[in-house]
Amino acid sequence: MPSVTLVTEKFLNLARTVARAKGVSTLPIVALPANAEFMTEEEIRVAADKAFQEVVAKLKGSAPETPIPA
Amino acid sequence: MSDMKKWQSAIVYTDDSLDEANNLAYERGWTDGLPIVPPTEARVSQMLRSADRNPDGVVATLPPKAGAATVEKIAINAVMAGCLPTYLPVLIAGVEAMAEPQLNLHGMQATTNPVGPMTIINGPVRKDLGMNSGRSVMGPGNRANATIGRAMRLIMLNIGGGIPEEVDKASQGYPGKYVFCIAENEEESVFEPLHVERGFKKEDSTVTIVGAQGTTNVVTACLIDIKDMLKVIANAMNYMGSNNVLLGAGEPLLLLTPGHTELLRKAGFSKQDTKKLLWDLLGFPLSDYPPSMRRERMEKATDDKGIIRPCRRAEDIMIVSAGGPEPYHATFVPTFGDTWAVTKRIDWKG
Repeated sequence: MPSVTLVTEKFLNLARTVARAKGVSTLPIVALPANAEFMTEEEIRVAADKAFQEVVAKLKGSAPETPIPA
Repeated sequence: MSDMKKWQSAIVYTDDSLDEANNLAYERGWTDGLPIVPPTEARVSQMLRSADRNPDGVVATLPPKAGAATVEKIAINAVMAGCLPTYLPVLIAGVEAMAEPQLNLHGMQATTNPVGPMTIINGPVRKDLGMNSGRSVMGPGNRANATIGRAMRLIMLNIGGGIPEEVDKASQGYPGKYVFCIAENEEESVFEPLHVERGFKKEDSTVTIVGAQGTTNVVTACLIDIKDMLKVIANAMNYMGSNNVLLGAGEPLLLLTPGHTELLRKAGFSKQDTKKLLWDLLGFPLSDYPPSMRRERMEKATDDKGIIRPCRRAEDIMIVSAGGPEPYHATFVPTFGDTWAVTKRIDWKG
């Protein structure tokens, strides 16, 4: 089943490290901004729209992941 | 010529220079920032001879990289840290402990919290290795305390993949992330040692790993009355920014000197009695917290009077005896909250 993993941007490297450790180095990942509690509602909406587009693109396979270097 | 064992680990060649070896190790991110002892084939071979284990055997896999902590790789990091070969069995048990899910090493390796593993050693191995359990127990000067603690960090870095900035997102960290290793002062304390409390025999040698996020000194000088002493200690444990309070869980740790334990004993208090009395003194109203800081899990950890404490039960308070004899200073060690200490027996034959 196609899937995309959402992670907070601060932990993007961690997500990629774990993905590689689990044998799924091309796991589709979309990073979301951290510290949403400090963002305005408008900023959150903009970020959510952007993330939504990325999620759809990755589900469609039109934005392939770059494998993490060993 | 050195031992020509077939190594699992890659061999990296540098000029025959301590400076060159250290520059290479630092540039490749293999160090904690301090100079290392180059893990030459000869040194690692000597380290391996002290443990009756297959060097290729996997002791555990360590998160988040799921790195295989083989006996060989543990030995390499032990050499780098400056450990004597006799320390290797302690590190092997320490790695076994770190890998237990309840410790939550994955969380500790990646969080913005400053948490790092604290290593507590019990049993005969302490004396056999010349460890410090007395004055300046958390300070510099003892080779076993210093290098065992350091090796645990290098293992987390090089095998577990807890690379600062890239994976380890500690906002500020704390100095205990370099080294935090003590031996319990079992001889001078009148309290039951930690490992016996946790189900081991007194003659067992054990390592306990705690997810520690700093230390707070508590001045207890002149506090002869037990309730006064524990009131002051409880005040230190009751801070709002504590992960133990924010999660209302975990095992906040208290280091008491033998002098404290003697005062408590004279007042008729056992270790368990002390925990219960502390529990009664701990806690503050959840309503004191700014609303933006309150989380659902805190509501669940609050009692029917609206009081939140740094742990769920009195028994969850850990008490270890260490340091010089006088009851002038105690140390509160808050923990990551979402972590539970693990104790493993060291394969120690003396």
